[in-house]
Amino acid sequence: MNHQTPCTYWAEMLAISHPEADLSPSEYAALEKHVAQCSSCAAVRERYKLMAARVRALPDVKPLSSFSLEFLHPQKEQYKGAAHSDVVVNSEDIPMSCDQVEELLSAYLDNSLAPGERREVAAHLQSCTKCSAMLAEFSGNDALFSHFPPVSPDPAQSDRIFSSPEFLELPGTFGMSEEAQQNWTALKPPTRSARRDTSGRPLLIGVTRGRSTEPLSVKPVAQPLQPSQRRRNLMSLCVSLAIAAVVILTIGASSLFGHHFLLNLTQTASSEAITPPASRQRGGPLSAGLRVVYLSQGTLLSALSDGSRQAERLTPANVTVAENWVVSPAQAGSSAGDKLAYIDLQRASVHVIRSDGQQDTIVGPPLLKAGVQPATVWDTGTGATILNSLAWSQDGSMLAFVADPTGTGQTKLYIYSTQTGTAQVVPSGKGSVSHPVWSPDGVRLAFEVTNNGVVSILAYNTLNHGVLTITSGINSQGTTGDSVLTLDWSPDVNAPAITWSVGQIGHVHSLWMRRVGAGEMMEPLQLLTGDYAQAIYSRNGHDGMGSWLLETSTAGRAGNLRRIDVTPGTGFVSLTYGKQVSFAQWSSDGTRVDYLDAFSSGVGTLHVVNVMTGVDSLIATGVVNDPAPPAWSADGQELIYSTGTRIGVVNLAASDQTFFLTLKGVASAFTWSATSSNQVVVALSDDNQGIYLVDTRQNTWLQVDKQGASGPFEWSEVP
Amino acid sequence: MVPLNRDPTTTPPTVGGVSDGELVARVQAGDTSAFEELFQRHNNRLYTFLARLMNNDELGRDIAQDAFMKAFKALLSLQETVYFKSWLYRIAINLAKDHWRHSQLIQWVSWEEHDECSNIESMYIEGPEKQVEETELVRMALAQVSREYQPCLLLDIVEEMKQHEIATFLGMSERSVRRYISRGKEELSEAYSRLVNEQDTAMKRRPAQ
Repeated sequence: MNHQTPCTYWAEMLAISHPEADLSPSEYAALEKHVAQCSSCAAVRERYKLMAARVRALPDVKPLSSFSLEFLHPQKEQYKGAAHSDVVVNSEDIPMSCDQVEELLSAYLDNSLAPGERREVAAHLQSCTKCSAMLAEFSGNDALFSHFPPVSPDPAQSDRIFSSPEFLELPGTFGMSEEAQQNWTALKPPTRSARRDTSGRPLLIGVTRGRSTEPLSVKPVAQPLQPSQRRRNLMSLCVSLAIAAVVILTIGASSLFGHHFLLNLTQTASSEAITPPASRQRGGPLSAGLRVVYLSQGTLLSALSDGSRQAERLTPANVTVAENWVVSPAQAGSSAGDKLAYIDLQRASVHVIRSDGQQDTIVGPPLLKAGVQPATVWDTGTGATILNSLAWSQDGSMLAFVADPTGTGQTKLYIYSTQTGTAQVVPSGKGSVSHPVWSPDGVRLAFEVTNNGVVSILAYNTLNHGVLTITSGINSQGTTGDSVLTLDWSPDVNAPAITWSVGQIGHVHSLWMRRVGAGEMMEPLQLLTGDYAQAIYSRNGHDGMGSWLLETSTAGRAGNLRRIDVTPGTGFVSLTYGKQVSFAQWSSDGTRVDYLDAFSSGVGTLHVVNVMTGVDSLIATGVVNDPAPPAWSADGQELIYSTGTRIGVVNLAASDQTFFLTLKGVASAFTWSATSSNQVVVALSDDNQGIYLVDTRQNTWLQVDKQGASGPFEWSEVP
Repeated sequence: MVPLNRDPTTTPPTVGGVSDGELVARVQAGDTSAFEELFQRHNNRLYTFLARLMNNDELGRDIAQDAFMKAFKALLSLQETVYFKSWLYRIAINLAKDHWRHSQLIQWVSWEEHDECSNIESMYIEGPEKQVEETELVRMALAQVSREYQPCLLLDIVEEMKQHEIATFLGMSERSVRRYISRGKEELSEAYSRLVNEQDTAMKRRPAQ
């Protein structure tokens, strides 16, 4: 009967009844593996299961007899002719006594009082310290809401609370001044590791569950909030905040936010959720392994990294995939993500599909208002915002996207959970949302809001549902034409920070940062001001703290490179002198930067500079960056580039040794393997048109597709 | 096939295809008979849940009744009507806590008395007819689980909800839910083993007939 002690790390997971649903696939696999080997943990899990079975085996309770409505008669009055408005039920003007209020406190906390009663209790609490203290104590004891700080009437304690990060995240949105809500412009999407303010792709995406994409099964999905509902939500939200500020903090916020903004927008289940992809070569799921994925004529294609097969169709035949599709991030134990998300241009819907081409699913609400022709929207600013918005959280459990369900051009932000199969609208106040970016820990989602031309940056906390205003009215002082150019996170999980650039294309005027959560800053910190041609961010720069690369410009002419870290109090470091840099990018690992110097007629001299030591190496002359810019291997050690007709590979770990591929032609895109620095995908667009897998060690290649593609190429893994 | 709509906070349409949200809206519009349907839909599960939570069928029934009353009374204030079930359960859990709060005060008086006669062995030594049945042991063990863990634990065991569903349902973080369930299960198993041991010991001490 003596109990075995489980391993600390696994202890909590052993109690999960549905590990397949509550853990990520990799965590689940790791748990099963561990339990298979550890007799103590296996015994503990078995003991829990047995215990749960004993509880479930308790004799059934006798059902309640039917609920007599007569019983409710006194209450029925309130529903007579009731609309949904605030009907005052208890209109007697006699103030409540402390005894009466005490009776109602718990109902007050769970928001289950009739509106009139609620008002009376609130009024009483305003003036009665005894009842306020009791409420605070009561809610402080409430373990259900223990993730909020406990509250007691002690003033020092309340000071701590009101300066806590949790509290600060709550009222953030509402601290936005009226003037601050006046001028804004849309932002450019961030790129993946090296972020440029001239082009790029957003981050993540992916998930399953929902319904299939069979033709005809596309029906208008439940509308998001109706305007009147939205007003009410905002009101109740304000009420809850006011209450929080007066007495508690504990309850209201979490329950109200959680409740009112969570919408079940997913379609009900349909049994034919698995759509066999119309494979070019074959039917059924794509075979397991690491695969490169790319877009060709509105279809996503996928080829095994061993080149053993021609590329196969991944997406269903009846959709047209938009650019800026995204693959979920790789999880522990895999080298690439196993879910993809994309937008179907024909029906304006977000899809999530497994990397093996199965379970293509429409998620969330339609992106556009019913009746709006998608084709009329895609070329507009709103269309670009929507198409650039897909973003996967780091663990692949949440997909952020932006939609315009009202057809007014006021885009809203949604988060789709792959675990619950539901979408949630993020409370963003007035204005149009663009450009969501997940924090590296997947807890927060930063985004921009443009309201009457005023640009603000907000961050939504998915754990406590708070919205924090990071900065507002970016363009209200100084240059009115300025907007946010790049928005991203410092990868430091222990001190999450948002960093962004402000200016116009070709004129970056300032760089900023602000910490959120632990070590929070009350105000954004300006890292730098000036007038730069470009500012490119890398999360991996500065040993994984995040770093900006700046291109100076003099009288409109290309200039030199500088680096500045996302660390308060640091100045910039000059990386080049006397150069005319016209194209620059970070290496994947953030230790180097490559750039083209003396760029003329589409050709320049390729250099690599080590951002820590400043050592600059000339790599090659006659290098082009269009249509295929140089590309770094995942480990940041190798660089592939095109001269227009030939393709060179330089190994920076081996004295910048360079060789040319036997595969010759006009490259249209390069992508290194996610796992190997010996494999690169090359797309050619001339007579040798096609997609090739190149082994750089053997200098050999395999053609996997006769059609070309302009990229990007992403890696996915079929488990 | 995984069911697609797994959000526990909403109840999928039933036979008639009417959702909770629609029923709530009907009540709010003045059709109070729709509440009867809501009651029929949820009463059994809520009652079972509360009976386990209170470790007392009668008490569970009273609180379930009470929760429906409160829900009906306050239904006008429910704005996100699809969350009726989650809201109803939260009302019920708060009522349960109210009850615990009051009963603590009452028990306070009888601690000493209780201590004096809490020689558990004496309860079992009298004969096989006093032997506590397993179901009783399970009930006793449940009663010994910390109350803060009980709602999560019972949603996990009795309602068989997944942890992320419980988190949404109760408005807690998934991390807290996981911790509570894990600790709750540990306490429950621990308490049960202890009770079984004590009973075994008591049985052994019983003079062999």
